[in-house]
Amino acid sequence: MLKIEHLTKSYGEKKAVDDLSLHINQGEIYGFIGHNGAGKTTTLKCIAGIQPFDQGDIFINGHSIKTDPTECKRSLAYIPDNPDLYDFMTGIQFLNFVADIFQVSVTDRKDRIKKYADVFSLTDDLNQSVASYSHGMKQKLAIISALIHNPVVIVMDEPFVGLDPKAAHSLKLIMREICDNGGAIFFSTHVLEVAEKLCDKISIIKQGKLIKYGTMEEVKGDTSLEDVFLELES
Amino acid sequence: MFKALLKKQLIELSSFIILDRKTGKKRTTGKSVMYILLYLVLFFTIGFTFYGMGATLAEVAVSFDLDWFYFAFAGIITLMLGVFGDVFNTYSTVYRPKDNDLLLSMPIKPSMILTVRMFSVYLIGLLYEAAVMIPMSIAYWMNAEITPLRIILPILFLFILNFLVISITCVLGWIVAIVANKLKNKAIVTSVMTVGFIAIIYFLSYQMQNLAYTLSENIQGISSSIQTSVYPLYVMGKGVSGDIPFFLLFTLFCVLIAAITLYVMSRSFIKLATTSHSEKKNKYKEQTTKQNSIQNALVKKELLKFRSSSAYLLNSGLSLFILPVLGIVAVVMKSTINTTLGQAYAELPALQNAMPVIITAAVCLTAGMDTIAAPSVSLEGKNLWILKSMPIPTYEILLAKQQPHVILNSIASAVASILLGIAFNFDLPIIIFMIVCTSVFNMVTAKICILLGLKFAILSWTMEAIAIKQNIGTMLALFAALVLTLIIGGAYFAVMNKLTVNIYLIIVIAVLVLAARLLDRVIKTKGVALFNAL
Repeated sequence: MLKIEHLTKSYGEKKAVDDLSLHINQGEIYGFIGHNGAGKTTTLKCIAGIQPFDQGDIFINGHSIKTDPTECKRSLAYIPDNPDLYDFMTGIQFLNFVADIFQVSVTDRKDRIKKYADVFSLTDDLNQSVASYSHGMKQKLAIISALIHNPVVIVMDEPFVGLDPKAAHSLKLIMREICDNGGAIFFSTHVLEVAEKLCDKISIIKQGKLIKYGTMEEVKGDTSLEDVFLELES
Repeated sequence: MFKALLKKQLIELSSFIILDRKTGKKRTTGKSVMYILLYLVLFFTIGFTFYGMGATLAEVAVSFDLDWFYFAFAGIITLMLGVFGDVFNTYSTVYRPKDNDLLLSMPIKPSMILTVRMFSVYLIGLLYEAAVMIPMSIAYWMNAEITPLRIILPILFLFILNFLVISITCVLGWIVAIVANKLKNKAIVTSVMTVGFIAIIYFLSYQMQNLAYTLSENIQGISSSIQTSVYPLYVMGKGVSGDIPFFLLFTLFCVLIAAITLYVMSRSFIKLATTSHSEKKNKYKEQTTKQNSIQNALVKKELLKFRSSSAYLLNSGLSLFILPVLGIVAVVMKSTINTTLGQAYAELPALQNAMPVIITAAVCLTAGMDTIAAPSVSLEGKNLWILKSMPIPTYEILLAKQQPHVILNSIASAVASILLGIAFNFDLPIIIFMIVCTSVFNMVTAKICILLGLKFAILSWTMEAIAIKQNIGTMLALFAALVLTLIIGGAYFAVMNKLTVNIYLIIVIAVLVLAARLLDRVIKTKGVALFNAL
């Protein structure tokens, strides 16, 4: 569903992502871990079509993000690490805006807004302006807006940051539900316990290069993910 | 501690010259000097205007021995410009600075924080007032007999009047803060208030000029009535013109007002500085929604952004207010306009034929001052990821960014064209040509704005005003619109013997349509590439 082929992205002289290749299949929750500045956010931004890259290609549902970005983005949802949303809109205005862009029917958007806003306890606040939202509320709104068009592939950058325990739990259940229904999720996190419990597969990135990947068992073996990560980082 | 705070405040104050607001990095000495020179040019340009006004009045006032009236007049204008220039600075420096929480958490007395902030407000106020008072003092010195007292007192007056100015701006800034907290449609109300404020300033300036004219007609009657009915004004003028007791009285008044203001504010500073912007909670209830097309959704989003920001409305859309007002004023003054024009036409018959072109160019010039599309890309700032991650062809995004510029300016231009057409007795076809011509002009300027906005996009701004005001793209777009207007208006005089106005306007429309199509091609290629590279 999501194929990253030899992705390379440089900022001046520095290679942020260096020849990274990764395949994420249908039904998989794929974790992406690495230290700060390892190249996680750059990789995720390249997948979402936000960041142009130097070499390689990314395919979403068989479409290349280079040659057919619009088609790729139709089946993709992206949640950034910092939910900078339109402050001049109310929560509901933002959700309707996203639904309009993805051409979600009125019935479907109503159902999904109701479902996810209730799950994340945001329903009462949808009339408030986004400017008045806390970081956690913005994160919830970003998640709801990402789910509003029923995406097949979801790319998330640190999705649990700022969420309260209940919302974080709900998000984990939703992530599993989406993958069980044939979707695929690729997300970065620093919370190794979450990655260990939630992910089917895991990849570790260091200085832009993929240094280990595979199923959770293949990567961690008999030890914990934390031990593996710390050993690889040392 | 006070010294450290003062140093911080002065660094903050001078940051607009020393720091590049786009990158946050220090400017080179050369660039900083350039900025200082630019501000000096601006200062001298404004000063020259006031010198001209002062020179006329000083000659009359001095000849009638009414020096006090001259300084009363100069003082009022200085006060108005100082208040107008400093009020929003006071609002952002005293009531909404970003470091209030940080400073309040430190072991510093709130009154000390306030005093330092007030000092900053005082300095900015001084700059505005100097632009009026110094040239007007020079104009006085050129006409009156110079004595040491006549040189020292106007300069001292500048520093003393500033106490009154900061007291007024503190009260007005406080009102702005309350209004900003309570209002729902803050941007629109703030914009209307600002435009109203500018209108009042212009009206008062106009009245001042009338007063100056009336003064020369009936100087003693006017001065004696001011002396009796507006006594504080008399005290101020008399003091600056050399009466020491009156000067001391005025000084005492200004200092007292400033002390009271500072005292009241320091008592409530913590409350003022920590008042939250929380809006009244309005619980969501499911509403009827309708599905919009992608283009409609994007345009609605752009319009929402435009009306939500007073800085955007005022800096990029001021002509939306001016154009209809221009038309209404013309209709109200229709008879005066036609009488004046009748006389002008008699002396210069060609002017009658050229008038529709001149008026069209005037509407274009005014509409061209609106640069709504220019900062729209920069204003995406940190939100750019939203549009970039959506399944929309980039051209569609750029098209939507042009729409508010075209729609709003064309409506305002059409209203102005109709009203001006009525006031100037134009035929219906001419009015229709004017409407079409200005609409196509707005299409062209929108495309120029978007291209320049993309070329000089600033995405890493910390304050919206940087993306709107300090944008080379916006300045170049303004310049391009001015050049385009000059071509539209000027070219007619080269062909006026060969073409009728109707034919000329049709040709202008055709050329503008062609230019719009060419620019559209550039947007589709270079514009799209520029956006994708952001």
